[in-house]
Amino acid sequence: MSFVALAILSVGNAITRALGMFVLGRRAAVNPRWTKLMALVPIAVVAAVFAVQTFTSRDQIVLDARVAGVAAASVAVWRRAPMVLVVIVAAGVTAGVRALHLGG
Amino acid sequence: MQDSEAVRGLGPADLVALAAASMAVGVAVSAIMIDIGTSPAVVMLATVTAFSGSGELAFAAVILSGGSVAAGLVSALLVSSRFGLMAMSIANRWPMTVWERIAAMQISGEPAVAAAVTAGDPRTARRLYWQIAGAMGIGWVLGSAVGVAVGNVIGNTRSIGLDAVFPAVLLGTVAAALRSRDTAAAAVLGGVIAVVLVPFAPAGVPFLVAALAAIIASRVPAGPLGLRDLVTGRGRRPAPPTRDDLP
Repeated sequence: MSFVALAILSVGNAITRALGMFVLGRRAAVNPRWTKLMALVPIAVVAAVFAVQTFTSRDQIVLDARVAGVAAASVAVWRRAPMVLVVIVAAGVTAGVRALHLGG
Repeated sequence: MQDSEAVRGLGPADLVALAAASMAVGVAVSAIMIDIGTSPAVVMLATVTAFSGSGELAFAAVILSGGSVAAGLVSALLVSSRFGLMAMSIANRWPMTVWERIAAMQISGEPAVAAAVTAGDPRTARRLYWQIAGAMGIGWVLGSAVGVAVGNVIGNTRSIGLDAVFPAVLLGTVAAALRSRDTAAAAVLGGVIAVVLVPFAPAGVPFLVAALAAIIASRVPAGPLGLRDLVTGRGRRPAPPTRDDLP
């Protein structure tokens, strides 16, 4: 990546972020319908990122060791374990399943 | 909405765990950027100015597969475009000065946003946002410096299960929100839409289309999902306050 490419990426990202923070986000304050949408959009996007990071690899739908790690971590979340434990369980189970060659 | 799981359990050890996970990603991303011929100065600048590990990875993936710089930039910008939606959703969560807005939008990440939007009150939202984004941001920059200075000391991040850590953290931060019908609908729809689109749509686009799930979910009335109550055998929780704009 060159300095020029970096500048384009950085400015482009900043414009996207500013559009959200200063233009679209501000509209929620005056329009009540936007308030409920504002609460649901991040949930939908976070769930999308969660699902893509768990069930896909590059441009394919893949079920591998990550699913086992995330499933184990979801039990920790359900049992109200602290975040540090959630992180350790997710990484540990995924690495363990890979080490045993049970899944990719 | 109830406080997220993160509110109760976010101690120093949790923040260190988040920073460590983020640091490992920083090492891996910057080492890849060096590998594709980027100068150390540009890699370190990108860490702070682009502030998007997934964007940098998308750029590197296009370059490594023989694509042009322009194609790499388009892919990186698309993958990073979801941060606009992230910034939008925290814009009114707590009162902010212009400078706080600029800082918050620059270092936004899904775990911090998820915790902030599911927190019970604006003060908690603000505290959680800066704790999580701060810890992960510091880890990210430190990790990137290590990746630039000594290359990939982590090895394959997959072999230590790091690729499962971020989805798990996301689950931990939004779990509390999923107990209401409307948020659960948004999450399930958003997740399914994104995964189904991955084989067909350019990288990053599935996240934007998934955001449309919120429009459908906003027609679902808020109310307890009831699953948790069935599983734990506890009495039903009182319904969350209904919103004024519901039909």
